[in-house]
Amino acid sequence: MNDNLDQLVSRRSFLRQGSCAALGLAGITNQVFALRSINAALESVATPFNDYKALICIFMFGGNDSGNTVIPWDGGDQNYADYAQERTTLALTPSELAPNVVAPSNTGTRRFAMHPAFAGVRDLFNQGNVAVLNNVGTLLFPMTRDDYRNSTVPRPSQLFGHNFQQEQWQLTRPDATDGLGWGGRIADMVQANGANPNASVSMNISIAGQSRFLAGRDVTAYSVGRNGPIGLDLNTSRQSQVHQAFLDMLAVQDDPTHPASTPMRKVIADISRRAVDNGALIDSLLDQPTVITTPRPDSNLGQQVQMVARLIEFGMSGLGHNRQVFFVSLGGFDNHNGLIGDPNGLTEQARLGPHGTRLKEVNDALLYLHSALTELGMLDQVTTFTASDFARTYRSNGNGSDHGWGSSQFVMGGSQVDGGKFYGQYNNILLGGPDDSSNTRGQFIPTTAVEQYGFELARWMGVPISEMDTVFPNVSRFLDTRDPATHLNILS
Amino acid sequence: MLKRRFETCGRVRLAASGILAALAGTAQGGPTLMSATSSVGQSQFQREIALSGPVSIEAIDARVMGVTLRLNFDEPLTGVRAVAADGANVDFVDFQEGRSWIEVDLSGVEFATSAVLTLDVASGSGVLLDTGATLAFLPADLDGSGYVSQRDAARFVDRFLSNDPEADLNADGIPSQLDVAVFVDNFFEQGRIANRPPTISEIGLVYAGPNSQSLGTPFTLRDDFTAEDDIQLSVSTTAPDVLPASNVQVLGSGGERTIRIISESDLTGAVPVTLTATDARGASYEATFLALVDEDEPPTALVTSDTYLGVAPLTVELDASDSFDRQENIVAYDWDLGGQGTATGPGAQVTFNAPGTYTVTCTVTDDGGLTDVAERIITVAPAAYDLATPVSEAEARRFLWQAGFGPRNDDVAFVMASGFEAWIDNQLTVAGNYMSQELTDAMSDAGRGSHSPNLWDNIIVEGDDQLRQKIAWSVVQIIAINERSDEESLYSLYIKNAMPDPSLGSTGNYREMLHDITFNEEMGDWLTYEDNRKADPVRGTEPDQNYAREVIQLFSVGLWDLTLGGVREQDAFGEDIPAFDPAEAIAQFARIFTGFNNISGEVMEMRPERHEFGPKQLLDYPGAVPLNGFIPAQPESLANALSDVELALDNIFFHPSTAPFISRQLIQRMVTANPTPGYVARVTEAFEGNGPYGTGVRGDMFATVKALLLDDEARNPAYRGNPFYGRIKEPLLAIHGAHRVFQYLEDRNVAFPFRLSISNHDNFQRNVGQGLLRTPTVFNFYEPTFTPLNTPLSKGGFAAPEVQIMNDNSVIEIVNQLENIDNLSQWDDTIEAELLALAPDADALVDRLDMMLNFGTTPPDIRQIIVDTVNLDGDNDDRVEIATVLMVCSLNYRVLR
Repeated sequence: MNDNLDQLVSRRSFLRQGSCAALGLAGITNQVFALRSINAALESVATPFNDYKALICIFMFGGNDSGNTVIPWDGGDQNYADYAQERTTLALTPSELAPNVVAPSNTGTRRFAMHPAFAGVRDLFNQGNVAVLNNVGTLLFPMTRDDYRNSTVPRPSQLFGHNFQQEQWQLTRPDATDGLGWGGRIADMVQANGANPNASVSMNISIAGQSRFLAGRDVTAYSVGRNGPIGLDLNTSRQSQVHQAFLDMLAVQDDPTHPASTPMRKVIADISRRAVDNGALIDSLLDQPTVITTPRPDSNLGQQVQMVARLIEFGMSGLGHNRQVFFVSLGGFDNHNGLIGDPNGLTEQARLGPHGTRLKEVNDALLYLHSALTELGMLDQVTTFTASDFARTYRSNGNGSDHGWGSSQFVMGGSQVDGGKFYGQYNNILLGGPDDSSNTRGQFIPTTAVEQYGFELARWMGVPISEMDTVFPNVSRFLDTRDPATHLNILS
Repeated sequence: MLKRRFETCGRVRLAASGILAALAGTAQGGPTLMSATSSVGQSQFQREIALSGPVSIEAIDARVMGVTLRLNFDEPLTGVRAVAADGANVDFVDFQEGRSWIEVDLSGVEFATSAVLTLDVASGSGVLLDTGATLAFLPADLDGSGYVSQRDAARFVDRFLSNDPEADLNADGIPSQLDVAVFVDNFFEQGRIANRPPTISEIGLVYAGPNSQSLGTPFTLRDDFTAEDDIQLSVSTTAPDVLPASNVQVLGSGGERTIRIISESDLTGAVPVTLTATDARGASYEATFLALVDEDEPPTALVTSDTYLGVAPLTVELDASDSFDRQENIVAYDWDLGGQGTATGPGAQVTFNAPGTYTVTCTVTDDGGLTDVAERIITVAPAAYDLATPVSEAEARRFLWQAGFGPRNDDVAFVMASGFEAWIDNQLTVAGNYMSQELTDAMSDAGRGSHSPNLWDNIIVEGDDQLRQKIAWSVVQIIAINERSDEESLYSLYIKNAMPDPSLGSTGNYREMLHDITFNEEMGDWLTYEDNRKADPVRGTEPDQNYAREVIQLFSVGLWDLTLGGVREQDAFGEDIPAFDPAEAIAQFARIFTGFNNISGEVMEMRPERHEFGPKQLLDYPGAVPLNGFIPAQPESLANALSDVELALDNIFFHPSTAPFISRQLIQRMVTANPTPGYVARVTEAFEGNGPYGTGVRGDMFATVKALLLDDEARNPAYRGNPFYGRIKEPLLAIHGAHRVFQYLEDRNVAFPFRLSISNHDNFQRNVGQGLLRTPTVFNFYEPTFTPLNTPLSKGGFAAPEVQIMNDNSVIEIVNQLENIDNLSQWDDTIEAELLALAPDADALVDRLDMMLNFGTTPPDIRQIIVDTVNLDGDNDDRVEIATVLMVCSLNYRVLR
């Protein structure tokens, strides 16, 4: 019963009751919880959600090979020659990389190259719209090579395993019992503090099916196909009448005064009717003319980000959202084989190889979003970021690479992103070197935790600092939530 | 359905300064130090009965930096908890129920600094809550030796400011008369006592409407050395326009005060108010609370009860104490007891002598006169169900949804002819169907892919071993695992142990299930204890705790001490009792699950050199297995390592919470999401080997499920009068059940035909949130306590676990999947012919489908919608299709009652 009560007395239900509701916390027996909530409520008074902001997570499933995505070039302790020596058969050639050399404004003389498929990302980086976060990954505590090898600091469970690492990237909590993702927890928190007061469709929207990342306690992710909502498919004769009969039956069973009504049937009827209505609402929005003229990239991910752009376009006006979190994804990054392409190939696809082709899709999606959001005038209000299971082994297995750990990720936006810079620490690439958890494989121990990355995005979205330990229970192991000097400060 | 105990409790606060003093003999014949009767705040479930405070406090052992205090009370105690010392460490609390004293070991007390000991105690008859009679101990190192010795005289005084009438009590080197004030001042000057600021107890939220004043919120004021009346109080507010500081009044004197806010305008707002207390030595403390000036808002009424179903006469305990008001101003509870009179107060009791369904309401009123009403619906059956009653077709079909995956006509006929019990017993003679690598290979050879859950689909839709499969499917939702390779051998463990299988040497026991799963390599991989090793002090490693935690908290004992009825036991303070120490017990069990190693194959091997052989303290409970839950240190050997594992599994298997914890979840998977404690207790009895269905063997799954299915609460039609009775069919039961009813068979001419129209469990998991062996976490697809918020279910404390996987997509997707059943040519020929013959008569057609799928429970207006839609089409095939699709998509089909 107490669990139940805690849920019933969740802040959301309180906070939705009236103007001063944000401070109504009596009746909660858990004093720690109550005090924290009061703090949050007091902070939120100062930062009402009267603007619009959105996050877009692009998840690269399978483990993107960071080693060939961001490459040391010159001016540092380790340069292209070291890269070529360590990666052997996987190394991209200097002529492939030369066009994409970038000089981050905060790495001194040291320059890096991006994958040949990332020409668009290079341009966005150079114009300050993209920032790179290096060697970020799952951690329980800050960890050195000695810590790892002597097991003096607990490791994340199931390192180098897809399922668990995908999950830990999306949940950040190794001991989580509720399966809530940090996108979901961010949504719970901003909504509890007053965002989206009148929305019927969930503020968390997946274009990539069920998403652990978006699962919140109060906020259940809404999923929409890349071509639109999943519709009822009652494939019988008299289809439209059967469809209508189905809705009529739902209406009867949703009526609590009906003699045969039961609470369980009514719950299903509620969710079903909402789903039908939400689907119809989104369909109607998608039928409206758009101001976006940027052509959509011809790819699965391209379709996904176009859907995101449309839902951002109508987020405030059509859906009543002033905060949204989107999840899109692309698979195929598990490049145990065929990581690199043939520089002399006849087609672009052959030259890029399987990995480069995937990265090109990401590159094109980011370019599309940048352009479409510019057209919408919302570039400064939308932050796009990448994630992946893990990086891959720096060492070649011949044709490809195996499962690694800390990886490079990208953050894109407008003026809110302090771009053109590198964040985190670019790891030492020596196999068996000071950052390698192994002796020979190049599975680099992250120097930035996923929590720090998430914290940065959550802070920008308006999650009160006092709530950060709730959203990211382990975050204080890596930074001081109240000391900006310890934050990544990618976003402002 | 929480059963609250009406217990008493109290809080004793002892302040000590100096090295907590030795007090040898000081209180003999002395005054009773704390005998005040105090208010116990607003809790509705603490009776205000006096418990005398410690009548004496002795230091029975004094050490450097430490002391053992014995607190003597004047009556036996029933509970102690929350012992904390501010300024010292509590090392150990020696308490036994029924004894009238407690010993507390304290350490880490800095010399000449003060410490405050706070403990809550409960007795059978008395209560004492944080009285004003703070005890203070003088620094007792009076001889200057640097520590408290037995030679040091020790004394206590009341608050230092009164005289010390017995200062010569232990005059071993101590002046016979002591000027306490001078003494204390000296110690301050010497820096041997640190002055601490006063304290103000938690005030929380203070509410008043515009142009009105608050009720008055009590708080306590304390200081070590300054009398409360001499403490200076000041108030500041952050929004003087809404609430000026002058309108915050502190009333009363001494340590017990009341704060009141007064609004004199129409302005509203939430105003942080700071109350500052400053003692005579200048130390101050700020307490901030929220003053909420707002229009009154209604309370939220919540009502639960200890049962809601039963045979007449039925007595029900009702509880509205979880009702709440944001402004904390509930003043009244008024009950309408379903025509059985009225009552007031947060709790009520009512007895229903006549059968029927009653609605009890409780109206909760706040001080602004606003109200909210909550109801509790209680259904009383005329008599217990008689298993000798002839079974109708409808009842037979309903039973087969509970006991299996939907009714097949021959099973329906069997149950109608021979009864429920005979059908259950007959299942013992039915050979189990297993998924196997051979079948997967055959399927693959036939070009049908190698997705082995397709074997399960066929077993579920066409198999005769329904009860076995139902139990296995229920257990895999308790011992939950996600595994997509070698599913055949893994799931065979669930099938094998669900019921006796003599061909495999299985007796169908939960204990064997635990054994098999514990040694299974897939589980070792899933919960990361494969290759788990004993602690390595050199490398600083500890054993992995993953399996230790889950095998206790999910697979056996659960988190809480439970009654036989599956209700959380509560301690003397009315709080739930954790079944184990989440840190220490898990660490001990983690040491058990060391040495497992997967060399090859499905069963892990034990490598003794990696196993921990030191002593282990497992869970201790009355009659614990092994004795006292203790395994002594043993020499390293394979046999000893294996014995450790078995003893640990015995330890959790025999824990008193395991039987109700598992039994209740089995009921939830088969019959109803919210069984009454009585129902759970009867099934628990069978699990324990007792009662009418018990076989004398604990953990007998067949006996447990037989008791579950034949119970009055499963069979008695009367309970369907209660809207909260029943369960939502989980997606795979809804989908597979529809296929079983029609004996669906995909094209008979293909090799290895499938029994399901759609058949990929990865897609099931993605689209409808459920697939065989595809749980996203070890917590199963849904948790047993899940309830949808802000519904009558959540308000009544009712669970609806399956709702946890319902969202905008899955509710649409499951309809789209169920719709695929409508291909008549793939139905059993007899069923197809029967329905086509009825097709011209829409009423007859719909009634027959209603019987087949919903055992005749479709409400008239739903039925009419289907009939009207069928009549839009003149083609018989179309008519049957339309009727079938609408019937399986109706919510009547989705909820099993």
